[in-house]
Amino acid sequence: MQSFAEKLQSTATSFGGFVPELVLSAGIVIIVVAGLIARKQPVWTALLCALVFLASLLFELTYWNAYATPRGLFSNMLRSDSFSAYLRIIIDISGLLTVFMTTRDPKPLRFHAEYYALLATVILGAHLLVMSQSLAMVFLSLEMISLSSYVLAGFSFSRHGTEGSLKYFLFGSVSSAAMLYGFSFLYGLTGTLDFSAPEFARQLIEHPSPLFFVAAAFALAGFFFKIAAAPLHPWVPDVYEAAPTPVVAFFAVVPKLAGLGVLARFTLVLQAGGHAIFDWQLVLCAVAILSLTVGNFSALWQKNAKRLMGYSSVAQSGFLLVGIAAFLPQGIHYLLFYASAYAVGSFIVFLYLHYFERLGFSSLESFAGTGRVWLWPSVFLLIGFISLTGLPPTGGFTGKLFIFTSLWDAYQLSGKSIVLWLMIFGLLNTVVSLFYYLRIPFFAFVRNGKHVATTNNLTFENLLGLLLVVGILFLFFNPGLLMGWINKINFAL
Amino acid sequence: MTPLDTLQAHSSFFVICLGGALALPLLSFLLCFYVSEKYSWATSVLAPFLMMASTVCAAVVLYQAWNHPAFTWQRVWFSIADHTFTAGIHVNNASALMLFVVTGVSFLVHVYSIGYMAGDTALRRYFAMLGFFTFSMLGIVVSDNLLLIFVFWELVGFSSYMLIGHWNESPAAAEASKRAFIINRVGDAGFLIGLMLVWTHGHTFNIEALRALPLDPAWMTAASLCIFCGVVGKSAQFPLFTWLPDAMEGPTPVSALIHAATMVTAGVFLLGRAHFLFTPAALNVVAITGAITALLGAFAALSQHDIKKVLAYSTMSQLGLMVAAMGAGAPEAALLHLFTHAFFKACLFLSAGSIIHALHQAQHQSHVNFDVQDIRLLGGLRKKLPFTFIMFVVSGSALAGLPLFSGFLSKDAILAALVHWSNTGDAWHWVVLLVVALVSFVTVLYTFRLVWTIFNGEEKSTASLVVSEPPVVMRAPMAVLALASVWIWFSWNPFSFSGWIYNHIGAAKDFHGGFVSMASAAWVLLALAVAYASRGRKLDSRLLAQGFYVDLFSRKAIEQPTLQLADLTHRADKKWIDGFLHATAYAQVIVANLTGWFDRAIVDGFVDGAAGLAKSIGSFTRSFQGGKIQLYIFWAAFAIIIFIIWTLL
Repeated sequence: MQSFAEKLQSTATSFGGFVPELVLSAGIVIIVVAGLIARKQPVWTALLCALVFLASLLFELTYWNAYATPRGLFSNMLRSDSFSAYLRIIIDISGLLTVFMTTRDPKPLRFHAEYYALLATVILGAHLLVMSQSLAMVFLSLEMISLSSYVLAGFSFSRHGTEGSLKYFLFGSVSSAAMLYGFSFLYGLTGTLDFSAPEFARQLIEHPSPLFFVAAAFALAGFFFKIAAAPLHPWVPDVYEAAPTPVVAFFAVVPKLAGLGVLARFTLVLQAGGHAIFDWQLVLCAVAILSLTVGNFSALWQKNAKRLMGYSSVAQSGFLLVGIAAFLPQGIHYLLFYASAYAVGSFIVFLYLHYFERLGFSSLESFAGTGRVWLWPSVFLLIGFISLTGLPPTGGFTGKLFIFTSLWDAYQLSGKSIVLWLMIFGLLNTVVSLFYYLRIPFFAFVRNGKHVATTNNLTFENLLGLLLVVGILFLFFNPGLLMGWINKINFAL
Repeated sequence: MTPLDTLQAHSSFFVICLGGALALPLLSFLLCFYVSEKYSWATSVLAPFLMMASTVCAAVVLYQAWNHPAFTWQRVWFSIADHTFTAGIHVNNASALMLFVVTGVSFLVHVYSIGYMAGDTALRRYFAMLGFFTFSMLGIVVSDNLLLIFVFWELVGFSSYMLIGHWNESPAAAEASKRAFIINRVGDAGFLIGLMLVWTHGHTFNIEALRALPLDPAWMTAASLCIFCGVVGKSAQFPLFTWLPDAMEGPTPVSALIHAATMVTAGVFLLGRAHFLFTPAALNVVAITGAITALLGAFAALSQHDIKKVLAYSTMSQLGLMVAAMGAGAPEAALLHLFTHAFFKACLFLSAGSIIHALHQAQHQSHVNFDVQDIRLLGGLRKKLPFTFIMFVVSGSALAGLPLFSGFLSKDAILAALVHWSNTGDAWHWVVLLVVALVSFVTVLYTFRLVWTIFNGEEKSTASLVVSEPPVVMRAPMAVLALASVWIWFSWNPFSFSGWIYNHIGAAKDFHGGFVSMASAAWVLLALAVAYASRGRKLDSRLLAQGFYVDLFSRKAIEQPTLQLADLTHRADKKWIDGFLHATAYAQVIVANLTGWFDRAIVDGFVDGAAGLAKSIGSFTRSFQGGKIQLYIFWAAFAIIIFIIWTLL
């Protein structure tokens, strides 16, 4: 037992590895206060929020080398390492992009200070979640994300939005409850909240009991809820359809990646290097297959672009889970690569869905003929969809290739048939996804519409979109650069 | 001799004249074709004028080239690998003389045609093809190269086809031109094979170069016989002669040209040109073929009723004589007869044309209709057509070989050569000599019969007609040609053939023909007496009238089986090949339908099924999405419980 002074000392030193989160925390307060002062100037709060995210991002990058050696913070409540740092960088960038997208909305944003503060809170929660290695911290940060998300989901202030928001809240509450229930069992079974601690794993191996499986399954339910994996996905389409598009873009990336980060850590512990009694690989593979199937096949039926993207998000969770289900070090690396490509592709798509939504196109049919008039937005949107489908020449293809390569390696190692099934389902679903992802480009380029509009190609969207498109193409043509960076990440507990 | 020497030996004036003689007929051909329909009358002035210019040029060439070293001019034509083909002109005494005769006769025929063809609807084509015909023949005459000769040889065949079939609206003319063309092709196939043989063994087509080469006799026998096939076709020798009487369907001036200068003589001229290629064995074949042809032609002429057919068979017979002389190794004699024959036969044809023309005109005026060419219907025209009568008698005398006429000289030369040949060779050579003697006897008979039947006796069908002599443009050429049928132009001495032509158109051999001349003159006069004595007799022989049934035989034995074979193959083609194609087409359609059905029902069905399956899976997975949050939570919890149970059990 450490002395109080030592604890105080370690807490003080912990702040050194906590700077981005401190910046974010301070930022939330400043944004709220600024909102009180500049009530009518959403630009200022937006700028402030962007600055906060940028500062956080810069600090992450500054401390990048320091993260290379993992260390526990605040009595091992959190863990500072390059894995979480990488995810945090993506999260920060996503936050920045969300702010940019929000500012493009011509409608004056109500409660702008609250909006940006909530955004920053989700970012902070995501930061904490990917760093957590204590069950309590996991729950706290997860709830931090969740509660803010519930509010953000209703930020369109429509009846529809409120309904979606409420559904999200109720469903989230149930899954949180289940997770908390599971956590309590785990604590009872192992006697520690720190799931990275050796005794946690030892207890798992030494005391196999069905109760333990039930507890862990309940705990995973919370994560699956957060990453929108089946069967905890029913909230997704309603929320995606009703929430403001920047928020949807945000949801599609930030909570998902954060959940994935902690899920990767947690399942690795559960698997206990293959010594676990229960086959968690089986569970993850089953969830991945279910997510892929439910997401892709349901998406085929959708007529609303955002709802379609909701199911796509479910399916993408399935693909992301593949990286974890491989239970291999390179699987995690490939997961990070795929996550990066996914984030970029997803933002391209939402950026232009938002653009077209502002022009009044939200159903798939309404996109007919837009490719003739809005050529570059449609082309960029097409590239984004191609990346999400996983076709060359985009980073999505490279990511999928990597992730299935690692899955194949896993199959070679374990020889489990469920892994092979996941492989087969994943590839089949890639084909299925082609059909709905290319429906909007199909309407845009093949069908004739009656749009007469003069377009200005020099818009902020196009500049940002071009940047992202170049990025996604770069990930295909030179994946070595990013992979080299990712490969330096040491994912060991 | 280098080209420079050649140029020095022959002035540039000579070269220009040679070029003019060759090019003007071609120019006439081109101009006549490009003259517009409106000015088609201009061709009947233009073409004879150009032909006259050509004749003048040819006369200059003849004058300057005569007894001079041969003029040669050669250019590389094309090369294949390391073989170079040259094309060139070679003008020696024989070709210069031939050049003059061809252009001259052609010119006279052109002039004659102005009258004869007046009012013809296709005058432009007529004169154009006449010019082209002449040009093609000149090409054969001056070429120094067998391949080039072959090219012009074919052009002659083509233009004769065009001219024989000039009145192509008449089925008989169309048929005759087709037959002439096809029968000539048969001979030309042999010619072509001969050329291949020559090339294989000599690696050159140049005649002078071939002359210098040592060639394998066995192969040369084969090659020369093959070339002789071409001659047989072109010069209407046995057995490919049947086209010649048929070709009488063409306009009479064209017949005159074909028989005198431009077509049938080409074969004889080629024999003279390539005489060195012929081995003794081949020459024997040539001599026998010539003799047979001469005999057949003479006897066939005896019982023809058509005025032009008589002349046609007589030409065939005369050609046989020339070929026999060639075979007997006397090309000079043959060529001499070729030249003399050119004039008197042209005159005979033009006279016949004059009769036909005059009677046609008369028929037009009196609306009486009968076949003006059938000599059985004619008679006593001496009074109505005195000029034509004289022309006919003069040229007929030349044909019969009466003394003081050109035909006597050349026939003498042939007989003398044959006598010499018979004395030196095998016994059967005498048979050839006897045949030729018999032919010259029969020649007198049919010529006399022809003249007597047309001009003497009582008028039959023509009695009621008012007949007038043809116009001057037609009479003048006849007069010129008749004038050229007397001995004086060929030799000073009317009883000695070794005049300026005979002695210089080749390596002439003097056969000391004094005795032969006397015997020949006596023989001809005897024949004339016999002819007069038997003038009332009619020789009605179907065998002779049908040209010894060679035509019938070729129709029955060659054409009909060929046509039957063609019909058979056509039917086989229709039934089996087409049937097979139809069957495959049907099979293809059936297979296409099957695959189409397979595609629609199975492939598309599978795809649609897959899509339907995907959709139904989708609608199943979506069906949990009722919109009620209670249900969402229920399903999620249910799924997790199922999951746990499934994993644990």
